[in-house]
Amino acid sequence: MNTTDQKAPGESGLYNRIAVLRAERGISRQELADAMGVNYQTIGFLERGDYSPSLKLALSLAKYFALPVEAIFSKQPFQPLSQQVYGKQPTTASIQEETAI
Amino acid sequence: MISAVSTLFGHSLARRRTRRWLVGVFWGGLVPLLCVGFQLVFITSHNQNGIAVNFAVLSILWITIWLGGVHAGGWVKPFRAQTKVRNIVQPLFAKPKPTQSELIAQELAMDERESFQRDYIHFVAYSIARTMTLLLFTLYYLLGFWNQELLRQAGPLLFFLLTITLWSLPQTLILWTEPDMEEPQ
Repeated sequence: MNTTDQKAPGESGLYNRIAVLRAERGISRQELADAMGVNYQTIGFLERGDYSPSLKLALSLAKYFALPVEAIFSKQPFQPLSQQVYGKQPTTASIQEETAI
Repeated sequence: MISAVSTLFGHSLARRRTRRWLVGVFWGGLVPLLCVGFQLVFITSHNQNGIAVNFAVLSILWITIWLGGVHAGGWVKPFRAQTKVRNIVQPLFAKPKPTQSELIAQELAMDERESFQRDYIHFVAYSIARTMTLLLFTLYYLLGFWNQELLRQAGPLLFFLLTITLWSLPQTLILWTEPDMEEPQ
């Protein structure tokens, strides 16, 4: 899941978590597409970051996943979920320090 | 923009490679063939231009059937939304539900990405056609210096080629550029 979070955006220049959220909820592209009223291929384009959605579609996705828009789309790479949940990611230096102690 | 269930001699058009073959066959074989056919019809019946016009109309209709983009049919979705034909009997007897024609219309309807892509492709096609028009016009003008008889014969051919290009370029660009389609899962 973390690797998907860090996936580089395609042509749109937007990072998104649609694939993660979809996998988490166990829904297919077709199901999400039907709920959004778009073609399932458009969901694929969104997930790869090859298409920048309209505000209407972005808000619809946010409503569907019950999350704020900025939790789904970002211009910056998303932090890995483990880092978000457990705080600052340990660096090599800090690990060496802890080992020395 | 392209129906994922379409096949060409058993090969799925969901694959870009198949679609590029199709475009290659169209521009490499069919378009020259149509142009030669039109020229033959025009030369042999220049006193009955109606035959040449009929040939041109049939060619354009055939291109539409082959590539799509105008009405339902062909491999590219229609560029304009389909008119929904309502079943007027059904609501009298049962709870309203989508009729077959409405389901087809939903299948053919373009979403926002496809509409955006359609508009972009049309812009690209317009840019190419603009350049091509200029080149054909220059060629036609230059032919006049060289041979007046050739100019008289080549004029309708160049015009027909331009018509085919204008009619089919957006569809061929879509077939060529759309990436491989994914599974809906």
